[in-house]
Amino acid sequence: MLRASWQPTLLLVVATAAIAATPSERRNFVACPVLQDTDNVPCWLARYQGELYFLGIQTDSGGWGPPWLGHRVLVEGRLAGGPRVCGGIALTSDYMTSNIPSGSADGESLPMPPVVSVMRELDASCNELLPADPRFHILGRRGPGPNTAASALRSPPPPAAAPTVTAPYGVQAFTLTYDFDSELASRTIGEALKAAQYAQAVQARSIAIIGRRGSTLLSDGSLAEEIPDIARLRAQELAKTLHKLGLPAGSALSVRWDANLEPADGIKDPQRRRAEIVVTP
Amino acid sequence: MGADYWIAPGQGTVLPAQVRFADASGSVGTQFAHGPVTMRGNPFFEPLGTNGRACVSCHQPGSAMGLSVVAIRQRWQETRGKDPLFAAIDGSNCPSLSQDQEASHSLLLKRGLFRVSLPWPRTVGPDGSPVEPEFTIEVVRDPSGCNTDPKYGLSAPDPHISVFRRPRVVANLKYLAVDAGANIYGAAGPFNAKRLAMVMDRDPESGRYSAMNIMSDAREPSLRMQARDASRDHLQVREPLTEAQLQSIVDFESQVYAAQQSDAWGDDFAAAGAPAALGTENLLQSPSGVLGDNFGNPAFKSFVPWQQPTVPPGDARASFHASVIRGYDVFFNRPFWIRDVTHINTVGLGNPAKRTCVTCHNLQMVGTDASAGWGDLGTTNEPWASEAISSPGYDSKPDLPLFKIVCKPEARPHPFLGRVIFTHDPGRALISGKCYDVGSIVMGQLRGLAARAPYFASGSAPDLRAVVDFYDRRFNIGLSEQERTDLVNFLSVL
Repeated sequence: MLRASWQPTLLLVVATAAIAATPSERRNFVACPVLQDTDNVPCWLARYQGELYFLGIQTDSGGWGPPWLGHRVLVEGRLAGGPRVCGGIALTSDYMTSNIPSGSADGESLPMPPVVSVMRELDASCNELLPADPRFHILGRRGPGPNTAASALRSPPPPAAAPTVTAPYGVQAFTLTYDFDSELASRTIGEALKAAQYAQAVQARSIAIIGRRGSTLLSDGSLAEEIPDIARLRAQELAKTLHKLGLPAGSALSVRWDANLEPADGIKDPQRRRAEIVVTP
Repeated sequence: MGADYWIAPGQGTVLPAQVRFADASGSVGTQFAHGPVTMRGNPFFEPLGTNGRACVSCHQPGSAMGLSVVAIRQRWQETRGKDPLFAAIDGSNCPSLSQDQEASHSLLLKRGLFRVSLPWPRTVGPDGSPVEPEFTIEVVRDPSGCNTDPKYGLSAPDPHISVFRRPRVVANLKYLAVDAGANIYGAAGPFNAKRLAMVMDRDPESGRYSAMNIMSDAREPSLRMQARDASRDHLQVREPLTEAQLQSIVDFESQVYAAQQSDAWGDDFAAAGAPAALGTENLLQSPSGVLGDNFGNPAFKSFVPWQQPTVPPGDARASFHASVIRGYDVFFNRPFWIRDVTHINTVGLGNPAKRTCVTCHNLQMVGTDASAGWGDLGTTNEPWASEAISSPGYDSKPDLPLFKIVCKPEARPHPFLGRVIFTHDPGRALISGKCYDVGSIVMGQLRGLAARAPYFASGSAPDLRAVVDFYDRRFNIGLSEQERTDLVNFLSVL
């Protein structure tokens, strides 16, 4: 399932809406996902405090990461406004969670999905698949069959060229953000490539990795904490990635982690689940 | 199967540029792009090692460059088990068994399975990077005896795990054995586009990123390394192959095409007017690296030449053509819930995902996954791989080893089986060391199928109907009897 439009350099970026959303509009919670089938692509929903929320629709690998039945999800989002979708109140995100538009419901474009992290461990109680409901008219960028998207028919993109670096060379930092409890930087791994390319270009003397551990302030006031090992796992996984990408001979790689929890405010928590690479020429 | 079905190492004759062999559905063809093959002196055909085998022993043109269990059994009968194919090292259930007993070769004779012995615990990856296993392995059941063998088992001084796998097809490799991103549409540079955050292995000899689609566990990043290691592990060479031998093998393998070449109704797929994806010539001529899960470039192109407005009553050939077309339609267009498949449902599709067969079998002409395609379909992990469930075509006595995998607390668990997994073959996890990869196997190509039963890496499906039935059980698809027949007919002409 190769997706042409996937961009390794996609970043989670803060939008102005992050500041605008009030606490009453925020929805940060952990719940079982619910899959609502339709006559086309299915919708992903979640129940929280007696209400049903719409998260997004099935998409391609390059889109947002839909939930998995068999696991709970951490949802970090805010009310999107607009009509219900598949029976749920639509949530959206302060961050760019998908680099491709996912589709429309009843002719209206769907909002950017909230940040959704699949919890690490199994939960067999998360197994709700609702049969297709004829009231819901969802059009996905891609339907349940083969792709019709124009992107599938384009010519292969040329390989990305390494960036040109000119003197004076400075210390540069690269930040990767992660899903909750994950050491795989699914959306931001391109930053590691940038760091490796920069390190090669400047023949870096040292490269420092530091992994961090985050938490999320949930809407009920409680705190969801990442597993204690996650900072180490992020740092070590990133070190393996850099080794495989290739680092300058003679450069010193230091790998550290801070298992202390980052502060949580219920707004910028997805950004604090991170690791940094600092390249020193 | 004709008398010429078998090419023996060192046979020394010349293979014409195109050869055909009768198979279960008509004939299978093998085509050599560089013309007739002089086998004398070609290291692919010469017994280079100490056990009398050559590469061709397990990659026979008559089996679409794989090896059917029918051919294996016939060879056993003709040679009374003395053919080098049955070498103790991997052609028997365990080298420590009495080699003159048929029962000692039961996995090969029954399921076409060769023993693959891998060091465990693994400490280094194929590209030299360190590996720290995230799980422990306990032997629960060991019918072959090799995993508990004091010399060859997991407790031996040089501990190894024995798993049993089918040989893969050495043909159509321009579609598979490529640099990552060299000609695969949309590849994400050094990263595996499917797994997003994973850097592809590099070929340590060329320094280039590998597409990691050659072996069932992706352990060899290049054809050259595969040939080198296979000569050691399967041919038992005393000295490493020379550079010239390795290059000769790679050059030969890179120009071989194999596919079904005619059907049971006499349709010649090499003839003008045949459907555009069928036969070896079309494989040779078509471009590689084309993503086929879309209407613009469908995976197996068009079967329009076989379409008729109506099928005349009693016309069995036209009925077969119509069935193949319906089977392709099911393969391409019929949605079902793809569920609990590691590296499919976990890569941005969600679990389950409402999709079709071509979602995963998406590389045009061969039907593999364009991105390094290992996934846990359930062919080696319980519960789906329970032999009583997965192999109803065989008797009920378990043939395969059963391992208990326990993931370490800090490891990312298997996404759908958790931290304790029962498996016949941990697959990719034996190379990556990752709990997440337990039971993940690299998808095999869908060409020349009729000539090389049984199917899946574990040989659990004795025929194409068993393959279709497995998918129907696995994903609760609800295929009708007609749809099953149509899918089998479609697969049989590839």
